[in-house]
Amino acid sequence: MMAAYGNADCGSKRFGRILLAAGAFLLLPATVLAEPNKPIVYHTPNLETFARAITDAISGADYELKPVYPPDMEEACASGKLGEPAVLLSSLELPAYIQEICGGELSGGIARAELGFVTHVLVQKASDPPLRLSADQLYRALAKRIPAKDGFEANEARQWSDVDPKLPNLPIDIILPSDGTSARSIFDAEVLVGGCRDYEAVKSIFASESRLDVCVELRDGVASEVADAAARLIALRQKGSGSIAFVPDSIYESNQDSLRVIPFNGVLPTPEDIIAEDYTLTTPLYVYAHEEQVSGDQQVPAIRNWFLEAISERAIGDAGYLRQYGFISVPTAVREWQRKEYTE
Amino acid sequence: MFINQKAAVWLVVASVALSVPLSARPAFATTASQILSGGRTYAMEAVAKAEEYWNSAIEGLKAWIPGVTSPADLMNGMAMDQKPSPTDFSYMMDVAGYSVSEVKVSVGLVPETSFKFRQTREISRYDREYLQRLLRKQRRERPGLQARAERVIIETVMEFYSFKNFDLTTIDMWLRPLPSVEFTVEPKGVVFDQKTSKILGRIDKLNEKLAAIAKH
Repeated sequence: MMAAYGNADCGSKRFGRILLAAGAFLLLPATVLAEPNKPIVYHTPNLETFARAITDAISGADYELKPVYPPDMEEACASGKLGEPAVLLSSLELPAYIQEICGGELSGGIARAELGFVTHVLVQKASDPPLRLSADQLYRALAKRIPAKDGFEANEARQWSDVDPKLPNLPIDIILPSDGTSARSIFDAEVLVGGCRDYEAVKSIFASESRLDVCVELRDGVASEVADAAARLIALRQKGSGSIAFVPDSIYESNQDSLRVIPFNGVLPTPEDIIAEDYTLTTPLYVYAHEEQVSGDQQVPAIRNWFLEAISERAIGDAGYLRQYGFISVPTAVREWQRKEYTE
Repeated sequence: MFINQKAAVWLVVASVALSVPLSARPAFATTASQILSGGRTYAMEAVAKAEEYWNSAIEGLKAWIPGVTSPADLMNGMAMDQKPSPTDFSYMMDVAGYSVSEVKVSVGLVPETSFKFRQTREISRYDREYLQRLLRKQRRERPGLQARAERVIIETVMEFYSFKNFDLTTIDMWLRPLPSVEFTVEPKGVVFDQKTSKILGRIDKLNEKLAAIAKH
């Protein structure tokens, strides 16, 4: 899990980059190479740990793992790796039109399965007064500028109680993933943008980048950035009361004796609320491949094996090996239906 | 779908509003027809006068904008006095960057109801991810036909955003007599490439989907 947070640099282009993956595997059958290369496991950068865990679970596997960073649709279509069998592990749903544009000559369509959610949590030391935080409160605690009567004003809050009198009179202090990482992207999207989105002053800004700047620009003195998730935990232990950290759920699960999860928007990360997406500090996992390569007449055993491993009970089941990385699976009925879809 | 391209302004109207037959329009002059744009007080008065004639239309509105129980409530909802549910159509359109700028109600034997949505801001990458989440939630919570039609429209709006050469400026949506949608896009230095053709082709299919949903 830590590797996934340490080396991911896709942040601002996360959505765009997924499109290369689409082009990469949707164009595959267009050319057949005489000597095919290793089957490729494309993955969004935040899912490297998961892609590697699934690959390692396949005996005798010889796959090449590649992160995908497409900037836009045109490049995705133009730069597809022709002739290479591939599968994609993605944290974003692929829009249907990508399949139409890139996969014009395909038959059989796309095999797609929903695996579950990678979960992040806000934690505090178990010895601190319990916090309950909303996206709005966190935005107003951390943003450099906050909405005011006439536009925006400098954020002067220093204590949690400055943000909301119901919160404890303790200093605002948060330890975040480094800017540009996928974990930070999730924090920015769900906490900062989620907290500022509905303010009229924010909504009145037409340009998307300008609007994001207002939402995600942090003020000095309240946030520190640590790339490695375990190091964030160490940093939290060295901080005073009122400090919180944003870490993968797996970090919390292995340190439950010393940490407390902070309810986010009033919701704790229970499996039910994660799956219902009422708890939103999560990233969905999808696996895509050519249906023909998975279960059609042109099956590629390596691709079929990887796809079936990804949806297997031993991978994504309640006791599956992905659980150790903070993964929460889709419900049992969905898992069974997906397996039936591609194995019968 | 039809496309009007004026050379001077390079305005392209990508329309899928083919399913509103002219013969279905109210033909008699005694019915009231009001275009409600701006001026909330005027709008509410106009709606109040027409209320008894278009209760059936309101039933249609209720399905699209949950919580609306009367014309006055409807206008309050449009004024955003009430915070809608995140999976309401109007809220998701707002996240997508489009707000209601006009409500058009024509009353008669065959009432007509339409909304005009205008772009009020660009969608950000995080808004797009948020919309994906809302669509997933709505798919689980509201699997019905009405919600399905809403999702088809929202997904089409999101697809438009992936094309750098176009601005989707307005969305005209008819609820009565038949559901249909018309998109107006303004190209920036138009080149009708393969990508453009594909997306316009998909728009073309949108009303076919809506018509199919309406038949259920």
